[in-house]
Amino acid sequence: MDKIAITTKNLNKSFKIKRGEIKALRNINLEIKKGEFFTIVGPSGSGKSTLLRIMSGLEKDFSGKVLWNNLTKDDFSFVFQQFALMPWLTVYENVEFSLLSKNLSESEKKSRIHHELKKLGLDKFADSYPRELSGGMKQRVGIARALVTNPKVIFMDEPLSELDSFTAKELRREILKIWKETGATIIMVTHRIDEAIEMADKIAVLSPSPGKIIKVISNPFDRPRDLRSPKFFKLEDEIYRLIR
Amino acid sequence: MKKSHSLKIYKSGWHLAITLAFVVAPFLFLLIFSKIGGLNTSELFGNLGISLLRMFIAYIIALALAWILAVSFFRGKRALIALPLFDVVQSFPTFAALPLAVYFLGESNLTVIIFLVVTIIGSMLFSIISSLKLIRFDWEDAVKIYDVHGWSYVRKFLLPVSIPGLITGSIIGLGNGWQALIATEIIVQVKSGLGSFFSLFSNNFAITSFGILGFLILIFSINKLVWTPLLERWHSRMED
Repeated sequence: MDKIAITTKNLNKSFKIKRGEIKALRNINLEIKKGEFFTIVGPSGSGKSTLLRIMSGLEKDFSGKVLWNNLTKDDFSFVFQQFALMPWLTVYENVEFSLLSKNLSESEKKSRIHHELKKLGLDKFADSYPRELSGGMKQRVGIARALVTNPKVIFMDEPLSELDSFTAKELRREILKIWKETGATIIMVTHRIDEAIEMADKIAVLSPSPGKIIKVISNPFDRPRDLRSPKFFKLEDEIYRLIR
Repeated sequence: MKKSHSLKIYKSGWHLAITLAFVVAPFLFLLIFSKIGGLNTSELFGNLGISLLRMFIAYIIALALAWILAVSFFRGKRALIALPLFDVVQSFPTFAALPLAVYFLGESNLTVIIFLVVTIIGSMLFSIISSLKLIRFDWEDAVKIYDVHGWSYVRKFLLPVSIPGLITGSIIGLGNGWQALIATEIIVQVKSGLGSFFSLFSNNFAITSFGILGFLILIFSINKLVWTPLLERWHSRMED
């Protein structure tokens, strides 16, 4: 139990619409270990983002249970698909945003922010505004904002889907490096099967709506993963057939 | 480290100089006008000053009330009840109630200021609400996940998000307010202010016309000096 970070038990979620209800998630039972890189993969509309929002506490209207094992909301961070940066704040102030509720001295905050900015190559852009940055840099700011709180669990909702393939590849490496260095649990949603296989220890495959867990696959490949090996493609095909 | 709340709203020295010319122009006009018309210059500027002071006080009160009401009622179940109510209240013909207000509150500065507040507040309230309704859901998620609350929430999130609506609402509200200012002062029959000036010279077409022209130059100058640069600045700041 001590090794488990988050558990969901018989989790169900429906959305009310004009003519009744739509079931988004059905009987989700998951166990995510501490320090694990866990991905949730599925087609559009399978409820992946909804599941992530429920697990992170952003969505409270559901049935079933979500158990945080010795964790509180203070231990969580989130990286958003469309970056969620405040356009009226500089890069420095956007990263500072996640520390506003923390009981830290100004010098401690400053030190942490500069550390994260430097780590992500943003130190020269501290005074820039989000509109002056590329998509990849905006997401780096989002990641810096998530890391500066020293989280135990980082939720990522399709963090690379808005980026071009070169930038996404670069950031995948960056995220894996961060995960190794911090030892945080990362729970990432993606619609890209190859991305899930490249990054994850475990892959939860969701069915099309209503989303239910078809299978949780333990990634058999050692890191670093060979993205062009026949075994990699074979696993990718297997997951694709599960979803279809 | 550059702060996000820089007040630099002028693009260049020339921009500032031209803007300052807009400040000087109305006062210069009124000075020349008073000399040519044989008016008491200090009395004219005194009346102008009093009217502007009434307008300023009413604006600050309307701004504070509009902002508090907007952030309190812009979403959720409260919005379902409050917004239609605000709509009805805004449509109320306030000038119909002005004689009654004079009866209860007297021919006083208070009556004028209250009426100006009532005239200005509607546009500001709905403009701020419009701004707040454009809050992106992922910004709100970031606020929730990082538990940003209290004064930090107001200063770093709620206030900046509401500023574009606050500015446009101020422009529209003050536009209504300038019209109401003179009319209210005339109807309430206060002893000072531009209303009393226009009342005194109501039979003098030339003085009344030039007075109105001077007033228009002043309003135009305030718009060019304050509101237009602020609006441009904040619109670019809100770009993603």
